[in-house]
Amino acid sequence: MRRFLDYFGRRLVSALVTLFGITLVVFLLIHLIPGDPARTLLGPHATAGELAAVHREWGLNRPIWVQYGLYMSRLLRGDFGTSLFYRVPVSQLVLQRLLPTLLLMMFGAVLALVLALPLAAVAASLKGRIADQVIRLLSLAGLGIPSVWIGIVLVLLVAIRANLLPVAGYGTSVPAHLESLILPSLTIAIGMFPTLTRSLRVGLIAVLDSDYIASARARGLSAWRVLVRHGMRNAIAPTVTVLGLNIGYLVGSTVAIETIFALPGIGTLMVQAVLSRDFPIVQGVAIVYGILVLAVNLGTDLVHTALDPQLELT
Amino acid sequence: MRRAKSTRRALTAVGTLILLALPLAACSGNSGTSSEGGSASANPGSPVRGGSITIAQVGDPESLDPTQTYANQSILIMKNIYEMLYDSTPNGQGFIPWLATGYSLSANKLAWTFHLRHGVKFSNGQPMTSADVMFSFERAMAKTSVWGFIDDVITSITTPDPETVVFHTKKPVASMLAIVSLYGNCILPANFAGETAAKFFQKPIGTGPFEVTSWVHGQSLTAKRNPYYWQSGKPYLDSVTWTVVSSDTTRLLELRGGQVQIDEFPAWSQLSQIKSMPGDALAEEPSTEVEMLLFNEHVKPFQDIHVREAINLALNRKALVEAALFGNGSPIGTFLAPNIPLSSPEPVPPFDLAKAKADMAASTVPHGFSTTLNISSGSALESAVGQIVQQELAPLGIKVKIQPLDPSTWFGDTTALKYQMATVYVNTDIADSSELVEAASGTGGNWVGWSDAQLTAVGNRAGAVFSPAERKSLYAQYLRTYDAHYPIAALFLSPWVYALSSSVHGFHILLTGNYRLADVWIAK
Amino acid sequence: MIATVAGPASRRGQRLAAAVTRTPTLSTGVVMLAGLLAVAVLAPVLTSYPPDHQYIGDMLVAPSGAHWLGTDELGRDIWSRVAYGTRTDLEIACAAVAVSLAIGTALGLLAGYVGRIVDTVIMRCVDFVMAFPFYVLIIALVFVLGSGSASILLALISVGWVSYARIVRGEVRLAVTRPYVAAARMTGLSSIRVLIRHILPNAISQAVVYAMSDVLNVILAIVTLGFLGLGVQPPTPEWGAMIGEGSAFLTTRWGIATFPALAVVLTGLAFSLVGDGIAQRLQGD
Repeated sequence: MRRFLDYFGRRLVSALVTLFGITLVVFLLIHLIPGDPARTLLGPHATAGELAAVHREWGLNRPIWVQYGLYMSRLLRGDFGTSLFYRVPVSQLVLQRLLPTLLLMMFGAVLALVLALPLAAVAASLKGRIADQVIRLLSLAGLGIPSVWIGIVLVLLVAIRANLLPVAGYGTSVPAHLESLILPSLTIAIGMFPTLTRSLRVGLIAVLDSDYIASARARGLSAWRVLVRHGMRNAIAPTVTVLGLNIGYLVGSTVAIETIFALPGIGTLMVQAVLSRDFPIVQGVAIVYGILVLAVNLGTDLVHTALDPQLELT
Repeated sequence: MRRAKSTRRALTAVGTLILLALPLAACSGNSGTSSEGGSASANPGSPVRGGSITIAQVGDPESLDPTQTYANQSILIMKNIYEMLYDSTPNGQGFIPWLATGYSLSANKLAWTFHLRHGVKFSNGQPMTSADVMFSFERAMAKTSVWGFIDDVITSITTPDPETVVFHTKKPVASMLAIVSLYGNCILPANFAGETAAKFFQKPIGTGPFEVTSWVHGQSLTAKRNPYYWQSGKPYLDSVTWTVVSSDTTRLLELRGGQVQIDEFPAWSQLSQIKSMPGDALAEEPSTEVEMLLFNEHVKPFQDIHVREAINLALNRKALVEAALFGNGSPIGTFLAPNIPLSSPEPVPPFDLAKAKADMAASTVPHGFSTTLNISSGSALESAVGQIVQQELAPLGIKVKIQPLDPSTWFGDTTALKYQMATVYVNTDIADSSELVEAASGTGGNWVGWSDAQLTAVGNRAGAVFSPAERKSLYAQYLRTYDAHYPIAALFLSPWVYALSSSVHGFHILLTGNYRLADVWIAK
Repeated sequence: MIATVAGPASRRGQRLAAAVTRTPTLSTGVVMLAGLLAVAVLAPVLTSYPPDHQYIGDMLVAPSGAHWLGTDELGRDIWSRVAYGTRTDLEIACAAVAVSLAIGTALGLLAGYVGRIVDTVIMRCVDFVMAFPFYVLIIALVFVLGSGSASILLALISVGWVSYARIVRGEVRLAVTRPYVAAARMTGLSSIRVLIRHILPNAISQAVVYAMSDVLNVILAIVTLGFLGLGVQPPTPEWGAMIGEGSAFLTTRWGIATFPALAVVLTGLAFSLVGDGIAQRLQGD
């Protein structure tokens, strides 16, 4: 237990250091690329004097290290600043837009697992037979389907044929939110489940072939029960890593899906903020991304270790 | 991220300059046409009260502060919650009294006295007075306002009584009515009705037909009927919701699926589909949006008029309209659209490759040269235009490299003249030729780094003289001289197009591209 | 990037040709890859039109004798663009993966073998890169290098090396505990030789298996960037940009977006088969 806390503590500290590094680099990058938000705000007729006035108002006229210092000192007090263009607190905007993306990622991952588990189980237990070959081939082929294409096709199918679900958007009530997330989650799930299927299948086969299982079988336990009670746990460990990596990658890559399905998520907020040079929002979202990814990484490592105690915590 | 359209669209509106107005001209009466395609249509019947509609926008209206934004999606909303002293006639050729009922001009033409309409109330019930007008204009004239450069002809404002406002100008301004009808000069309650500016603009209060009741940034904005609206009986609709849907395909599918009733920005490629869809229609109106190719005259090969003329002659504008607009537009020979008041049509340079080659042979770079074309990324239209221009200039030996830049960078570079060639879309915010002409001459920021004192003088005179006939002939002279120099290659004029459900009636697009929801009703 | 897990490797591969023919998965994959390479190299021979020439009169034509897969919205032959697009996507993807593999393996070896401070530093860099917002990075790179392949490549490499570093590090740490390594050390072999002769081959084989699936991930990333308008410079044919441009026409000319999508799927299949095949070989028979 003590080692665990030790490990957790160390990881937390290094996560904070990493986060700090990210804010610094993002700050530098976003301020050094060309494009002046004051110019974007005021238009082509703004004189130098008018631009300067806005720069002063936004604190952009100070040297960059001063700006960074001010930003960090406010951040440490919990103040994420105000959006240059929206004029509302960054924390409010970010939290509001974070929810749809988080829900999207969650539902997508869960749906992917729901699709992958049974397929992998069938393939593993029927290894070598037709069903296994078919599942393997489909997973292989499915790996390459671009999710942007899937998304658009789903939108088309639903809009033209079915009329069951809202084409896009996020809705204004909780049931509407959930309804609107069905298609985009499905898109993400379809993109993710081939990998998960393959990984789970490999893990399950390895477990099924192991001595441990063989002796259980020899004692007369049915293949399915053996699989469920003893196979899953060990087989899942490597898949957890894969899932974690995928989710981590998902953070920040939901932009295309959010665009297609008109979801007011944090991906599109980040993109828009980078494009309009709304510095406070870029900083705020970068921090959120950082926290999410680091948390997912830490989480998967911990879960992985819990499932497979042979692994060392380092 | 594909098509970060909000900023893109905002920035195409950037090229707009304000046209200083038409003098006098109270009404003009005849309505513009709203041609409805598809099978919808014909006889809309009489207005029905009640119902709501949803409008899908291409980008996020980040701000509803009229002095701090010129993004189209914001303007379209603001023009339904705020109002101005005067407004355009439906066909855009004149001005009608709106929150003012009339005006008088002093003998020395330096003081304009406007009489405010009696009984106008803001959506919170408070009556509109001259104090509100003064507050709003002083705000729009401020240094940190987008419109400071236009309003700076006004030196001071006085309010002799609650229903009278006097504007003092530093010189005679023919276009005062255009200035006061600019949306940036809309009337807000003085001191934001007691709130802070930040809070106010999250739920603004105006005199317009609708008031904002809820706003989720990046997602949707809902506005309900203003119970105190001064035009009795209007608006017919109970509420309107604008949603942000940046994908073209998705917007159209939402229209088809009935999730929205108006698609603000159908893609050109979708128009023929829409025309043949039962239950949906197109509202189309001539616009003032002109796509142009800019030549930076601080860059060597473009200082040679032979090169600029050659490029103009080598471009097949018809092909551009076919490919970039899918046939929905027309070639144009100058930056000023023919339907802008006081404009004159200019001939379109013919597509003549032989003459273009001869021009190149006579130029300082007979064997051609390499150059970069800056386009704003994320726009299918700009990408198409860029690629076609690239292909069409190749026979002249001009190797064009297309440089897509994200909108902020593209915009910054274009305004700072840090480009070789660039494409830009311009339109006018006001119904008068002076805005674009001033931009071309460079008083507010020159596009191409060329100016001619004599030509600028002609443009300025056209903006100061009060006789429409004289102004028109001055502008015609201006355009002739300007175009003979080939500082740009004007490519095409595209219409304003909205896709509507056939249940929407009374929808009309004005010259400036906006629509008045007060006149809209919904009926199956 | 969607990650896959490689099966456990227990011994080194055998003669390449024999190995390939003995494993149907691998042989199928290699054949498909060869086919793709052939299309890329022989594109000029296999197509009748230049990929970026616009035939303005012939826009949005359906597949026909003249244009096998039809034309796109600017009148360009789709088959040409798909074929030449193979060059664009494969070049960028293979370059990105190869360099990521090299850098990641080197850093992973270092981290796993040397351990301690070096390991901590490298792993924190890994965390940093994974948590960094990719979009900010790519905009910054586009500013410095201009839009196009260079910035995409650099962006992909900056985030791509991470997976290889983790894999190799893991393998190295595992290998270091093996008796044969201890034995090799005891006989006085220098660390470097131990590293290269005993540890590297096994570690790198895992990385190579992963690389096969990574090529697909990279292609998908390029596709997404192209879809979002951040891809290669127009009019260079690239599958992602084609899918993006073609998505507006899915109801009228679905081929514009679907044929390049199909190309991506086939490419992905090819690389995955190769990767699976190698993994099977490594698992021993």
